[in-house]
Amino acid sequence: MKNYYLLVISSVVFLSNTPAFSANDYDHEHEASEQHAPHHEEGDHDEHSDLVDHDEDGHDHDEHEHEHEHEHGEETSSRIEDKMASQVGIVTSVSGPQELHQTITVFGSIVLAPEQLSHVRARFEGLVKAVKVTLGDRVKTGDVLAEIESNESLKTYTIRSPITGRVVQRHANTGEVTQDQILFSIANFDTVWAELRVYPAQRSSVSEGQSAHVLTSTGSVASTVDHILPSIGAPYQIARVKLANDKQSLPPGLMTEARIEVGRFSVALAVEKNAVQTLGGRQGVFVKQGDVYRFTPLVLGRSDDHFYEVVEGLEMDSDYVSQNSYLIKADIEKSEAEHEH
Amino acid sequence: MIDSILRLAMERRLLILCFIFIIVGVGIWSYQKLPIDAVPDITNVQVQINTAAPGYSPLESEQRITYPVETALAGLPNLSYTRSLSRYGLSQVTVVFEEGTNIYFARNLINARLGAIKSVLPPGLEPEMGPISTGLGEIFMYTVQAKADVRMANGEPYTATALREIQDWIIKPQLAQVKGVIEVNSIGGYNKQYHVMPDPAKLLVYQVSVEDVVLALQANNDNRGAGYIERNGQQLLVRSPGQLGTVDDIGNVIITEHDSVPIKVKDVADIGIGKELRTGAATRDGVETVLGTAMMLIGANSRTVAQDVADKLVDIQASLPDGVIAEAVYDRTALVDKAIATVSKNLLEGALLVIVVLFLLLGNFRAALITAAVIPLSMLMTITGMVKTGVSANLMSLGALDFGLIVDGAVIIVENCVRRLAEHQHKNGQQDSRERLNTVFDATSEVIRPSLFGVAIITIVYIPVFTLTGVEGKMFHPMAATVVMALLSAMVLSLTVVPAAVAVFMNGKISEKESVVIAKAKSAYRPLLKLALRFRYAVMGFTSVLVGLCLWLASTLGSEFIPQLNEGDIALHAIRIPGTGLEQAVEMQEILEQRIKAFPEVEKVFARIGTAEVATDPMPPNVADNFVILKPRSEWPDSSKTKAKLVEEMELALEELPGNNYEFTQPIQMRFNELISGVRAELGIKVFGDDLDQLVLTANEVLNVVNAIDGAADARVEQVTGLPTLSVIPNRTALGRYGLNVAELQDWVSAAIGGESAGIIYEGDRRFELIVRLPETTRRDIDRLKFLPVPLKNGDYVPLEEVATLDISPAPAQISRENGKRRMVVTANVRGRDLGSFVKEVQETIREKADIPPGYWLDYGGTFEQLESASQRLSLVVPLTLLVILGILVMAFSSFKDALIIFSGVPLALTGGVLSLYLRDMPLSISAGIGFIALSGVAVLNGLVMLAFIRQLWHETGQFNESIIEGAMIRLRPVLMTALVASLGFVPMALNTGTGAEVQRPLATVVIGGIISSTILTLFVLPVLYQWVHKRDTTQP
Repeated sequence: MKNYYLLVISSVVFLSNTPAFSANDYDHEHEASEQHAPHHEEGDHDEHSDLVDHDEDGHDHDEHEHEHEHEHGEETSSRIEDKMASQVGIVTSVSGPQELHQTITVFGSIVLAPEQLSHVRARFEGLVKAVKVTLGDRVKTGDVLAEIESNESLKTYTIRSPITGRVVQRHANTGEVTQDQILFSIANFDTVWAELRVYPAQRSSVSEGQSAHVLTSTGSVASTVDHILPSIGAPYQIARVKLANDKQSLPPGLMTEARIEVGRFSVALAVEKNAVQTLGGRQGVFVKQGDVYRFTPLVLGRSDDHFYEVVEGLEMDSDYVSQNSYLIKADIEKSEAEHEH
Repeated sequence: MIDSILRLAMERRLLILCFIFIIVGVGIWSYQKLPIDAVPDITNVQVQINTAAPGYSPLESEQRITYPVETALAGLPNLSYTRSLSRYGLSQVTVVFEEGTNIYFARNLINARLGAIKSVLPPGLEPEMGPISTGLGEIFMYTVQAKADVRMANGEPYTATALREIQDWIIKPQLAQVKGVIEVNSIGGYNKQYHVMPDPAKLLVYQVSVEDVVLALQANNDNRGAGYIERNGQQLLVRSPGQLGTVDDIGNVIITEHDSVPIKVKDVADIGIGKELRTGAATRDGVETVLGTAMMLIGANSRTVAQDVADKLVDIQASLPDGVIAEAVYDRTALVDKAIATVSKNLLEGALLVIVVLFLLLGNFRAALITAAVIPLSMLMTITGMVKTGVSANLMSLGALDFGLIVDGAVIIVENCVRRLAEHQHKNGQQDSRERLNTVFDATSEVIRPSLFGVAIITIVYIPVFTLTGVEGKMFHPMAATVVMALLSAMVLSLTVVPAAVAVFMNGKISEKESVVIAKAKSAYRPLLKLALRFRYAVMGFTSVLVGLCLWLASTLGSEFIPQLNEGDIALHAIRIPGTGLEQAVEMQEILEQRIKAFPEVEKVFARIGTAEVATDPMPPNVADNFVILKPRSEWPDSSKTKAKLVEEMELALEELPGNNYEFTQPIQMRFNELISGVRAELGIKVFGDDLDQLVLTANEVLNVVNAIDGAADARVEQVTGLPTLSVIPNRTALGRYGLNVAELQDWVSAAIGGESAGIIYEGDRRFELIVRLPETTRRDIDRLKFLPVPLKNGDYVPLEEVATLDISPAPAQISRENGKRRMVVTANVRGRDLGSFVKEVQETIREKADIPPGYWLDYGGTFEQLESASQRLSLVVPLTLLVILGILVMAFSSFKDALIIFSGVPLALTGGVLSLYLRDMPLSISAGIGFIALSGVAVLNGLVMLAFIRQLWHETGQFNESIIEGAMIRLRPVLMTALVASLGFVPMALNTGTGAEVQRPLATVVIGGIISSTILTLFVLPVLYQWVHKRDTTQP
């Protein structure tokens, strides 16, 4: 057809109308390579798609909108030879049971428990005769902190430490009058609490007894959620986590990040998260059979950072692509890709 | 008039000969200024307006930038149309002007309009016009690479960022100085940036926000001048330097204080030299690299500019750090040189052949030399004409030049002069100079008319070529213009210089030996001609059958539009699915290039992925332009392998790689496609409207309709959706509860994920952006993004998921617009039926069946549009041309019959052309069509000369049959000569296999084959026809 010009120009010399030449094509588009056998499994999944639980995953993929657009005639497999696959970095894993750990991230601060901070006052007002400890000293329960001469009886009595801990404040010097002020503050840092804010969106998943990892600058400290307290005048609740602080690395007042394990379950079948791709609006993995990789739509259940639970769609011990699965998606969809400017 | 010119040439012969020196002088001077390129420039008059909009998604860049720009441009004078595309971070509006619009005028107009809309655009965005260049502009490319064993000053191996810095700040400023270079474009590596990456948890600890960090950095990074002080007669300048210089400086900036303890940037953030969010990358031989492209100013001489750039790059090498190499990977000079070498080889060999033939047939060396002198002279005149009319020298413009054709007029004149002079000498012995002049004058004027008519006719048949428009017009106008100029030059020369030269130099004894060839030919011709005259019905019958057969044969020949110039290198698009990330694309590209590099024929392969710094070719990251530079043929393991075969093998090897689609093309061709970029299919149905979803629906509906129609092939809808987008959708109620507003949330999201500029760090001339954004690990972890704390005004915070919904869904990857409206294109090709009826049926069916909602409309475009307008134009011009030719012939002979007889030579010439195409297995193409045009001119010329003589003899002698035979016998030599020179002149072209030969080969093949058949048939059929037509009026001449 494009040589219509040519036809007309030639007719200068032809002096007659030559029959139309057959159409000539210039298309640069490449047809889908023929080795992709058409394969579709419509019907198997539609009724299940509604079951897919996207809450775990946080962003659902608008699956339902596209469900029906892509049912027919979609190619869902690709042939890649093993040598090539290893060259481009396609790695497979075997599907199987897995223990999932679902976590959420929360922020909060480190506080001391009320019972671990003691403000020591003089029982009877009087004159401080002697001070036995100073800031930073470690004291045990019953250790003498100071000697006071009572104003009334003029007898000297001793003040002892009510708890084991360190002296963090001292407002008493020899010769001073005690009046009603705090003489010493003793604090015990061996255990501290993380008060983690649980906002309403996360509230339902957090409960007492769940394990938590509090991230510090040096690593993380494992513990459990001891209790959840409603806070007063704030939209969040507070999950309190008791932390051993042997190394004294968690100073109270520190803002901190923590992961709370909100779910832990063994699932019969799981696939790696990296493996899951969306094809034609459905999520699934690529299962390897020989050198053919076939897209298998999955009904996915719960997930954690690394794995998806497979509710339906995959058999045990299937060889599925766990790394560079995007390449296979790209290979299958490439017939749709074209160059536009 | 012709006579008086001739007489003047005779009288003032020496003066006329002196003009030769002027011609030579002006020609050589013009040659210095002649723009030389490989192919004609087929780019339309266009201006690209690019607006870089970092972080803008396609929808936003359309709404905020593309629309205002487009609206501002509406109604520009000479505007043809605008089209635009809006992508991630880029808005590009292409403004196409009508042909012939001055590009600088156009740019001025645009500039004025853009200035007026500055206030409408979002602050900080600056629309910029693309470089003043064309499809031929990318003349030189180079990569910047470091040797494996060299280290940077800090002991690390060279990074992509460091190489890019060298490219941008050492190489580019120097290359930009080269005359004729309008732009040096960089792609690959990373623009160096200083990154401040605050840790969200630490920000909480110190109760500072990202905004606080940005503000602190902005407030602590300035130099200030403070006037001067005069002291003791001396002037002291005062300044207060405060610019940040190093990473340490940045870290020590104080954000705020807590209980008189300063909080420094380094307390809350990591600081380092980071990578920009780049839009393009480059690779070479399977390794990431930095690629620079030098672009040539419109109308510059690509060969010179490319050469200058190459020389400059060698100079620059000295200024680069040790071990860093800037190496040319693509140099247009090579192609231009090769193409020009092919052309000049063809022209030179053709000219030599012509001279040899002239000498052999004329048997007179001086005469041959005079005739041959027409070749360089007309060439020089043509070059002068080309410079004056702005036609560049390239394969196409020089490709159709045939010196044989050009000297045809001169051959006829010289031959006749020689014959007459020799005759006179035989009769009357040596002539004196006056007699000689008279003889020459008579001889010349005897044949000048037919030969002038012949040349005029050849010139006229080129007229339809001038009516081609668009790409075809741009391709073939220079060719037609050059040929016409050459023919006219030759015509002028044969009117003036040739007779003058004959008069001056053909003194002494004219040795007109009937050369052996001619003698043999004559002795064979006479009996054969008599035989033909006797069996005239058989001859005519045979001829008609032959013509009919060849017409049928022509319709079975394959066809091709314009033969592609073989650029010697391969370009291929590697196309991945939309949404493929740049890093993923680079990985795929590396494997792809290793594959290509494994071919022994490949010297190097390099690619650009995505969009370069200056978005002259805005590609998404899923598309890569690969350039495969081949070794010289002599180094191939099998040097006879064709390029097509190599491409085929490559395609096969690459097909195994998963995830890539390919389009094979060539560098210049690719660039033209990108720039012209109309609808490349035969039928394009554009759907215009507002709502993208509705556009997709309507387009799909149209697609279904088209698919159901007979003959539709490759129908498809433009793919514009499918870019996965993570949307952070603010929850207004929740925001209100925490005292935030939408803008605050958006600012935070954009700063945290995209990054926010906090100023510039200067290192001498070099300037680098200072960016604040979250650490890479945090940004990338989509699953954890929802937990990120968003700071509140009271110093508190709230997790992101509390105030916003995160959603990943496909969104438009690109929004295309045309003439100010959103557009989606359905394209289709047609197989097995003619385009016109197909288009009509499509239009009717769509009108009946497709439901186009109000506010949406369709427009039909594609190549069919051009075909329609061209065929309309040609259907008027071609018959007109034919009429004009016929008119000239009738004028020449004052006989309609004779004119028709001469015209009959045309179909006869055709037969040979068609047969030779068939024998060489070549398709019909425009090149071949132009060959047919030239051929028909030659055929008419031959017939004209022979018929004129027969008629003249008949009139003189009154002997009808004898006149036919004698006339034919006398004209045998010039007919053979013109035929031989014209066909031999094309022989080198037909056989050449060098770069660019494929464009000329069909043309040359047609002409050679056609001239052979035309000569044979003219010699026999023409006399037969003449006898047949005129036999009834034999008695009354």
